[in-house]
Amino acid sequence: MRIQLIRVCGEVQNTGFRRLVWRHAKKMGLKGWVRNLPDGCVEIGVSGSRSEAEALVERVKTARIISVESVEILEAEASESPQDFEIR
Amino acid sequence: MFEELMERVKYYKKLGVNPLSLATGCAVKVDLDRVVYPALSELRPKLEKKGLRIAPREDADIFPRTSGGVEVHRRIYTLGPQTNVDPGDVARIGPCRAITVIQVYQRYANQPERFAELVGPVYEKLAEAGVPIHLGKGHSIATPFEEDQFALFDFLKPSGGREEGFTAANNDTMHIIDPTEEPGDYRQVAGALSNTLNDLFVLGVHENLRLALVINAPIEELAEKMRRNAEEFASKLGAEIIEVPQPTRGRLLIGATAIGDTQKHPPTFYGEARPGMKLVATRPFGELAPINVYISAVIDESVVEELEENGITVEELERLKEDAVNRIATPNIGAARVISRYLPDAGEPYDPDQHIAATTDVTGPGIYVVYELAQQMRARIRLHDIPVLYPRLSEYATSTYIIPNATAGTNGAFIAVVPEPVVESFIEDLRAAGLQPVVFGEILGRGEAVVEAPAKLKKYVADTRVLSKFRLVGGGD
Repeated sequence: MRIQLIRVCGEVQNTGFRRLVWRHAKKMGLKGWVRNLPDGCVEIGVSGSRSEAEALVERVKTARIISVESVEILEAEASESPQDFEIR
Repeated sequence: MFEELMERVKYYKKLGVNPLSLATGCAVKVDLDRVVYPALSELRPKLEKKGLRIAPREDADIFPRTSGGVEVHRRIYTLGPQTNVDPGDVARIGPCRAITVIQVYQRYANQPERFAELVGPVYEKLAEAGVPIHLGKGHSIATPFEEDQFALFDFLKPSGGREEGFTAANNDTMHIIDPTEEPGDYRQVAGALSNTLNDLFVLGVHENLRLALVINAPIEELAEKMRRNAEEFASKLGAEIIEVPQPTRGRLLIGATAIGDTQKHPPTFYGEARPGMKLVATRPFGELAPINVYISAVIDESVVEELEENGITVEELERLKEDAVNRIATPNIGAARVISRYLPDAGEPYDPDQHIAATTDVTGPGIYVVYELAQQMRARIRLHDIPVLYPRLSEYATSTYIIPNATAGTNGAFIAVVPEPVVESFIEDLRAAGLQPVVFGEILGRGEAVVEAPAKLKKYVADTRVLSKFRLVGGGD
């Protein structure tokens, strides 16, 4: 199945960013995950369309204090379809 | 309000803590099941051959009481292959137990292999001392600063002959309790120290309390203020402060190794749980919900709008947050005293009509601790209520996904498994101690762990991994 892989960089680790993504993804009814990457960025995996992924990014970018410097969205193939949205 | 808080966030960042990252209460803990235990499992056999025994997961280390008490010798080591552990020094101390705090860089905190590379050399070097040491409670936290990594060992050396009773020791160390308040606020230290004592209090351990503090701050003036707050807290509680060296890694740390004694047998009679025994909470739980909502409101403007749509004003939220912080900063010694009254004297047999079979404290996993209790006791449990402190706010926080589990706590309430004949007097004693006890469940029988809960649990828990452990019954409320 196809998923949208979103890579968000900036001051996004150790800031409560994953919790914020989880909250908005759940409210939007999305399934997937959010996790910290070793290089300091955060990866969001969304089972949905590119427009849904963009809408999620728009919501989390407006947060106060947390500073997002760059966002990349790529479409990728996933072996399993996520059943929920989880913080990894 | 938020401008002031944002200034505080900047100040905290200078102190090495981003308060917004905190699931509040605890420092960012290294995951025990995914990281710490897999990392230690490979080391364990090798270390055990040399006399180092790493205990299985436990909330507090419990060992026989001795007449001369326990000496605490603190050593702070660097991690990794260049660790500065001095086996000769450890041999001279001659400890038989140790309580540890390990702080690792957050990028390594998710990787069991990397974690093992950091802590492995420390344990291997310790093993060279040739001293059999029981490594009891181990606490691991993550730091955003690589240079702040350390391993703190509080070596315990009991002295004198064997006495009736037990000693319990525990360490909990965190970065901050309430990120919306100043780090020098008395409640920060009171909350952190209450939290480390809670794992003793839940066992009914409340005598001869001693605290080997872990207090650190980037500014000496702040560290001094935190130490004074800790002294005030200890004095109010009648606890002794043991002088020990500090990590001096420059950034915020608040906690302690807490040690206490009891003449009773701790409530670890898991095999004695019987049908009809009641689950009593010493008070409703869920004190982390208002703190999380408050912090979320600072980050995310939509939270304020949603709150208002739900008829909750920012002023009310502030009031509930204050109430929660005050609860967290209040030590549960009253409940500990009551629990100890319902335990057998050390060496005496357990009486299923009089004695508490088991206890647990409602911490970060919230209501999930009941499932863990059912696993320990191999019991079937029915909950007929979910007693939360702030039902309306917790329901809102769950429905809007602000907090995955609105039943979570820090320095939380206790849950005791109490024989039916003494439930009433147990409740009366708790009330007399100023608590708000609730009977909210019972043991149905023994066997595979099963917990039935009212369907309204869904109003307070959004985390499906937690919900999946409960068999929800009934509809609505």
